[in-house]
Amino acid sequence: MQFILKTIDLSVMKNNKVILTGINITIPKNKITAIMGPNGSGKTTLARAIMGDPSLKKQGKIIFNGEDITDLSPDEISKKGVYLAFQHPPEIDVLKTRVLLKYILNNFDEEKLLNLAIKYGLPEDFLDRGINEGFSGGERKKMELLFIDLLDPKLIILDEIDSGLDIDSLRLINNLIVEKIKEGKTFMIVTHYTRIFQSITPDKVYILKNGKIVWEGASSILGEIEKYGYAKF
Amino acid sequence: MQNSKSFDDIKNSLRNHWFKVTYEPQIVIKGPLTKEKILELSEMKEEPSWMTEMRLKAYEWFKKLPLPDWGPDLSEIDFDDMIYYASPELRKKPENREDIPEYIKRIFKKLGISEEETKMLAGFGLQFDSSVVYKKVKKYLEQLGVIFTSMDEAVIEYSDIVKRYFGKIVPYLDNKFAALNTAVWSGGTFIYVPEGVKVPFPLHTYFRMNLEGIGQFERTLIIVEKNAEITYIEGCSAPLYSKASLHASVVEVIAKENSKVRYITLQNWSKNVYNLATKRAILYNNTHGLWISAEFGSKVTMVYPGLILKGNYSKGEIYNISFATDGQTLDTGGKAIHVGKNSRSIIVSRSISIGKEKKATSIYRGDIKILKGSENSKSISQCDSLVEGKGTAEALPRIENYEKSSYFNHEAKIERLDEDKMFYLMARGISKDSVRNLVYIGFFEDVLKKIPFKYAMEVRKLINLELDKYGDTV
Repeated sequence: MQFILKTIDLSVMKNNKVILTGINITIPKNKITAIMGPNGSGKTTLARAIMGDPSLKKQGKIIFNGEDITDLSPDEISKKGVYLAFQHPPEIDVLKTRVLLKYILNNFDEEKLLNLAIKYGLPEDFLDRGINEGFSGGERKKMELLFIDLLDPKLIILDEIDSGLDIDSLRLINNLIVEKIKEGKTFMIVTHYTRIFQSITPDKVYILKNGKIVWEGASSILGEIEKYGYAKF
Repeated sequence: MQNSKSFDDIKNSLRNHWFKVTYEPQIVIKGPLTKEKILELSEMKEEPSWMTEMRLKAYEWFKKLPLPDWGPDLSEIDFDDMIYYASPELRKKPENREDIPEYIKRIFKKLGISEEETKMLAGFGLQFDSSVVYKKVKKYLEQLGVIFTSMDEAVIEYSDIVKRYFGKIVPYLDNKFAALNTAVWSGGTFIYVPEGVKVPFPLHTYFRMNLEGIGQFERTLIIVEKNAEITYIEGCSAPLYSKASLHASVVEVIAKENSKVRYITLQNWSKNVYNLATKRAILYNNTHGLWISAEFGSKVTMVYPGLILKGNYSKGEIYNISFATDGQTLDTGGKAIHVGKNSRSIIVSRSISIGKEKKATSIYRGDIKILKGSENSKSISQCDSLVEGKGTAEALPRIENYEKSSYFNHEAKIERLDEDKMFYLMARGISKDSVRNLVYIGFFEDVLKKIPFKYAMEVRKLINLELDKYGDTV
């Protein structure tokens, strides 16, 4: 199977503390891969390390589309086609969303953006607010989804995207994933719960515990996680 | 200057005196200050007696008044060991371009300022009389009847009108530094705009033929008659190197009925200077007054432009942007007193503090009073601060409302540009430098919109320069 991203013996440190050790994962192209595990297992750190979080120290390699991206900066990684929907998107009042999007987009089409806001259930004045200014947790997550449409990445990493979202929004995410898979995109879904996999099935599952991959295999494992949690891994 | 006759007189004397350069004996006045030294200064300037008397009274108050017991530490200022006046020929002037500090030249170059201007801005006398631009401006203003000259000349040539207004808006007992300025002032600008005249371009200190260069104790007086309009720009975005540690200026603006005044300050003193200015405008019925300041330089700045909203339907706005880097304390804000009915005041303050190795401090200080009888008035103040690294910010608003039908509102916000926000934005495909430019320039943008394009561009460039130098803490 063709892969889009691969880590080779990846270890990650933050503030001189080892968070991840010897991670070897392979994300197949145009598929859905789940990265699961209990709280504090290092899932978010893995997602952020792939995206180039400068506060993390890395050993090993991250290969994206056949290219070593281990030492690239987040903007360079983004330009290669990786997108991370943050678990906790920050609120940045001083930077107006309009200013940011005008900079990012080659073609700033206000009407199109307003339609996207409606599609994702965001306030229609979002362009004139700071980034995520006054947004609820759920709205921030929706904004992260909207960026997928704007940036058109090849690999989409969703970090706990469903937390804080209601059933309707969950359906929105499912539809989005189905649609983007059709377009040839790849998903890496980082999550603690199995909830998001009620209507879409991952092609591959990794379980991360104490900073190590402890299990990999097919989606049939989800039922067990649902029942017994992560204790047995 | 109410009737047209005296107006003509002004025009005539303007023609005669535009280029008048009074001979000044070479003197230096060093601290400690004494009554005799102030007399010597006044005599040397051949001032009318009312000015001499005012200087002496102000000096008495300067001795009596204490340093402010609030705000930044000013205890390092040594009033006894200071040069209060030096005639231009005696000032340490670099003889040629090589004497200008290298870093200043570099910045001038980046700002696109010509060799000629560089010399002027570095504290040389300016030789604008030969430039075509200057001649055009001069001729045009003459035709309009606008007086635009140095304060030193105005006290002598337009003594009557100056006497009527000088020290009326900022009296010498206002504060210790206003008293000091009144006692030892030298240099500064005098502008008189006759009734109905709308000056169609901003007047800049550049245009003023002035051997004084930029003074330490500048005094500025602007009188705008009914239905008149003016924009004045002082300073420049290029760094001004000054040997003097204290710069205490006073600015007084009088805006008569239906007039509009815009006063723009671009402050970029070298980082050894205490910059303490008292600026105040009185606004009569239906006037519109704006104070716009961009504060970049100095070691310590304390400037709170003031509005006396005396007239009904008077509207005053204060816009401040300040950018503090390592070791600077920029204490700015605004004051407004609402007297007239339906008066409006708006104060918008935007500060950035970036401390790379040392603390960088921005303080907003607001003081708003709505007096009883100032019916249906409205005051809005808004203060946003952005801090990075060792930068800090504080908002200290004070609002007193004695009029039930009036309304006020204050908002303050402090935001830190931290690693996580930087990572979040970069992860959207924007380089670190571009994030900085977007955030910082965007942060100032709605204030920069109030400044004429050319000067706003200068300020934008300056922000970029400061960011190049200091902006790498995240």
